[in-house]
Amino acid sequence: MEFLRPVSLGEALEMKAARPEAVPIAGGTDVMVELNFDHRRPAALLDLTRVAELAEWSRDDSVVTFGAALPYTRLINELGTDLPGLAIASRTVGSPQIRNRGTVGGNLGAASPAGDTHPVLLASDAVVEVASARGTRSIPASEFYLGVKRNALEPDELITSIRLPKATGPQQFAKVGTRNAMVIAVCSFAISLHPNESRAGAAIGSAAPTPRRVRQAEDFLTEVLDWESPQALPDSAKRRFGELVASAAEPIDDVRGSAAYRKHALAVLARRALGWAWDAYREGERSCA
Amino acid sequence: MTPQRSAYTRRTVLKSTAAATAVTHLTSAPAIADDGGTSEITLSVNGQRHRVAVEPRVTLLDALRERLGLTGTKKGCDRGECGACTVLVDGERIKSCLTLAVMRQGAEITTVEGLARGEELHPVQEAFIRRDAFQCGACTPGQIMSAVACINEGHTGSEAEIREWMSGNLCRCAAYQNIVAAVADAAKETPR
Amino acid sequence: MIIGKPLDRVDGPAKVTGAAKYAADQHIPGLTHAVLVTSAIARGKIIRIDTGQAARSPGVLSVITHHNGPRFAYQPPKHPWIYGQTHVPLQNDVIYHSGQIVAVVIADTLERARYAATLIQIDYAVETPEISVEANLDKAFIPERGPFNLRYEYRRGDAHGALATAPVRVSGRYRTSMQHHNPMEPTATTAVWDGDHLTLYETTQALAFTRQKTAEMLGVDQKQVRVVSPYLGGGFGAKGYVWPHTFITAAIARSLGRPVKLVLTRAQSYTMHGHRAETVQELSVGATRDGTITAFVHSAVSQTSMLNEVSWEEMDATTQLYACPNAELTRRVVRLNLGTPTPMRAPLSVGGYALESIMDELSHATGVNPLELRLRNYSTHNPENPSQPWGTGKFLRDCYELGAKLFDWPHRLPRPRSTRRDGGWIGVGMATAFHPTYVSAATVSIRMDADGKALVRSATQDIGTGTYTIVTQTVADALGVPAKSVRFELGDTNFAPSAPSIGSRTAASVGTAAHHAGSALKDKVIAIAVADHRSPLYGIPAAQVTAADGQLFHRLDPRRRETYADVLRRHGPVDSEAVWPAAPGISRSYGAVFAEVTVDDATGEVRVTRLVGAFDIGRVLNAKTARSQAIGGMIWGLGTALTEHTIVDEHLGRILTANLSGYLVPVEADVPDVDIAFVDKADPAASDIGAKGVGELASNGATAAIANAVCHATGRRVRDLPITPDKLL
Repeated sequence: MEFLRPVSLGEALEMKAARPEAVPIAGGTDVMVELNFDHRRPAALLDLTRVAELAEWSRDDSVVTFGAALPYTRLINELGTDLPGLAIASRTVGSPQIRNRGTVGGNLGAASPAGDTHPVLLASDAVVEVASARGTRSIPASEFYLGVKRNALEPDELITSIRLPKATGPQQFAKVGTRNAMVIAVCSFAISLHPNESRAGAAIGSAAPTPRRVRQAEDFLTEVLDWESPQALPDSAKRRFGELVASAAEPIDDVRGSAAYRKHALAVLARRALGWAWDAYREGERSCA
Repeated sequence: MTPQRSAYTRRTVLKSTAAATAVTHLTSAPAIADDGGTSEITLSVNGQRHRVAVEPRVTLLDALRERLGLTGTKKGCDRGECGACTVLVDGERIKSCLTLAVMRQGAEITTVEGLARGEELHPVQEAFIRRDAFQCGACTPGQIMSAVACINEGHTGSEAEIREWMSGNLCRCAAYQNIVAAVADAAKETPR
Repeated sequence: MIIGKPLDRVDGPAKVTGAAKYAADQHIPGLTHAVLVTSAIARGKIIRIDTGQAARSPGVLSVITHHNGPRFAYQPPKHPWIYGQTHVPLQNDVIYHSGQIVAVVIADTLERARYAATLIQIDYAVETPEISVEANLDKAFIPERGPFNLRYEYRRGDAHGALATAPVRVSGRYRTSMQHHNPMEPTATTAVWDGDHLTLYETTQALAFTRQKTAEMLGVDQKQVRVVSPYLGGGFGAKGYVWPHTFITAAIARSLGRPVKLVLTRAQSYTMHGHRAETVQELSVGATRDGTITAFVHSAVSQTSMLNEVSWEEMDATTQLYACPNAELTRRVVRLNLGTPTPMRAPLSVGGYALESIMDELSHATGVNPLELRLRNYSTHNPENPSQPWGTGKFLRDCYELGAKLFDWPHRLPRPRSTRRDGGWIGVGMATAFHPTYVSAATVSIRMDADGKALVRSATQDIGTGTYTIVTQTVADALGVPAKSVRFELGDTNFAPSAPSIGSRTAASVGTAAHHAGSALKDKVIAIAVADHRSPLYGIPAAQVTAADGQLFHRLDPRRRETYADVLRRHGPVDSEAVWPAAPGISRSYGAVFAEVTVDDATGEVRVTRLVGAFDIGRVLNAKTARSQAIGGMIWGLGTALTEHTIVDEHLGRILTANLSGYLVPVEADVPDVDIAFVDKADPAASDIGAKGVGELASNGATAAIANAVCHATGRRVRDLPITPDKLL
């Protein structure tokens, strides 16, 4: 095994072009587990911790762009106001020690259906910026996840940054786990209200081969939500929303929970998260008025 | 009975060293080839610099324990799931099983051996003894390093906050409520 | 008196600074590293094993398979008491369970050994494994009692007849899961040979077991084996008996001529040293309408392995806890392609969960408050031997009283599913904790030097329970010196043979020997002083001299005094040794546990909001460490109730949760503050110092109390542990 240590993004991309089999490592929270037990022994490791630009972020009036190797802890502390949904999801990742090192780039690279940030990225219309020595590409999150632990990256590409619109409305993330901390999601749900577009984004995790948007449920919200003069949502609407979210899931039985339980819990999470988000929106509208 | 090829077989591990040489010249920091051989790195631990010969695949945890003889840091799972190996790197708590030693050159690493000043224990160490915040002691070094960081981070505002921010460290003896009490005690004594 | 005081742990400074050296922490020059390769299949044969590539891998010193495996001087018998299992790996090609050792790689570094282990190629002939208890119930059988004299059948009166005619009958089918101990410290063995003498740095709850059985396997005299374990990072049963990895490592080190260290990975710890067996239990209780119990019929089936027939899950609480004239207990086992089970803190809690659940069901059926129901069936005499009073060793009434007061247990319980708070259903539940008192022979030696400091030694263990501290306190009191004048060393078979740390017996056993050794040493020094004309105590009858705070003095004229150091400076060091043969009277430990839970009935998530335990552990030796142990035991029960289960692939027989993210032990954020009370009355029948066990007792009760609280909150009786959210929907 070879250990490659680029100090700039350009250098990293050249190395990845020369050695496409090189496995990128930044936080190490996914890759190291496989290395420690020789479940995976890549010919080369590409250490991205010295590539400063991958851990930076920038923002303008409407968009936040952050490097793929920005640790969760910094994301929460420095970008939490602009990206509340992502901050909530990041707070539920692993443990404080993991959050000090783990990154959204790593979550995307691993593309596990249970990754905590995926539903938020989907619900918030994130774009994954990837690069290779050949050039750069922007991949919408909704096109990024291809299968269980498979993503749209080409072998010579690296994830460089993630671009998200600043939140224009309330965002929520919720997950069910058998423990109160350090827990892999049994299932998870994210919702982002986009009042400027009079619509909401919603997505599920740990409930299908890939994290996925729940378009029918989103469309339902477009129909029932009155953004101009927001009213309290009837329970029937929340319940219907929950059913639509659950119906989009294709979960499996595994050690963390049964498929039936996942569907049930997703409906509950969706119902509640919608309630919290919509109430916050109504509250915001009232206080603005 | 049917013959079946073992899933244990792994053929993906064979390496190509030819390509390695080709890449090396690109790097300003030289690539470290792992031909089963080792390279010398410098680790700064508890204020002391150590030259140590390791293969790239050696974790910071194994470097500390097996190469530097700093066995205070414990290995509980080697997967980042228990927190026994928690150390501070540049003041931040991380799990030393989830980082390679070669990635931490130039960083200031603090382990449980580096907290006391001679016979004088760190306030967190004292509080752990006073509050009986451990039984078998296997998770204790990790708990203590996590507690030091938790206090520095300012996550000690309430019992519930301590519980949440100390949840990255398992304790099978379940000294949990005593750990919360110890962290709260030490937080009062530690100037931030 | 220092005994009973909440003295800080004397091993505290070593543990909080990282100075404490555990089994895997020893620095040994020339050390090599062993890595195990384990079977990928659960049943069948190895038809080819190719080690060529591994053997040529850099740094590799040796690759061991069944072709060249160590051959041993002994074969553990069918009932392998203190061996963990009968099966010795690496002797032939047969696979009995997934995760069985099939090869060992030794290399100069851990990384190189681990890598080379992945290069070994194995072809198997696979057979369909038997994995399910439920699917094999018809094959269940009653095993022989074996050398541990486990009880599989018991009858008194006419239980079936009494049940058939009982005005109130409640029956339940309870399931408990396979569980793993998961001490935070992984199991480790470091074997160092010097000529024909072996030193083993071992994670063991029983130095003597390791020494005896390793010697037996290797065909050497016990005197040639030294076992060292000054600190143990928890065990909970997993490190109690002697398992193959230990003597395999020792044998390889001998043939290699190099020291070898083996540390099991977390995953390997799921198949190398036992587990708590899964059980299916049918339990029926018959009672009068006022809740007076007339019959128990309890029938249990638990898993065992292909080569061993054993069930550690004793269910004596059913026949010994409550007054009841008719009782029947039958325990059977089924053979599965899984490892051999072993005791896990605490074997009795598995049957105790069923018993205390059915008590709650009986309470619902009769309308008698759960606490009142238990008092109504209180036994003052041993129900198995009605002429034998429990006597002064039973303070369960005090436990009920203390616990109920601390918890504020309601006299009238609200109906199930009637109390809501913050969107969740609230429920309370209680249970009785019950555990036998075990003791073992123990020896403690003391040398007091001219400086008046006592060096105490015993070949026992501190698995986290506080042995270092309580023995220090006990000896200090016996001698009449301050605790700081006593230094206790343990964890080395070079010291006097002593008690194993299994079955909650260390404190009572070693503590008693320590007390006698201390008293004997005091008597010796007094005898020397009163016979020495240079002593102020010269000529005083020895019986009139006593000691306190390091000073010997005349009871009737305390001005006549001198220090231990004064005597010993003139006379030289004094030694004493005491053996406690461990012949106790009948004794049990008791407790009452109370729990409150909140259940989110939309997601099924359960949160324990309050937990109270009141325990009769005899005399409390250290209020601080005893409390910690009791809290830990109750959280152990919480894990069993809500989160812990080992899940096995039903086709492949592989453990799917062999890590700490799939097997969920409670974390900091899962647990409430636990309130503990102790009766703190000495039980002279248990041990001469009046102490009984704590750790296992305290892990009994909480599981059922929480399960009962969940039922009270939701109206739903889950009879299948753990109570995961899906079971509440």
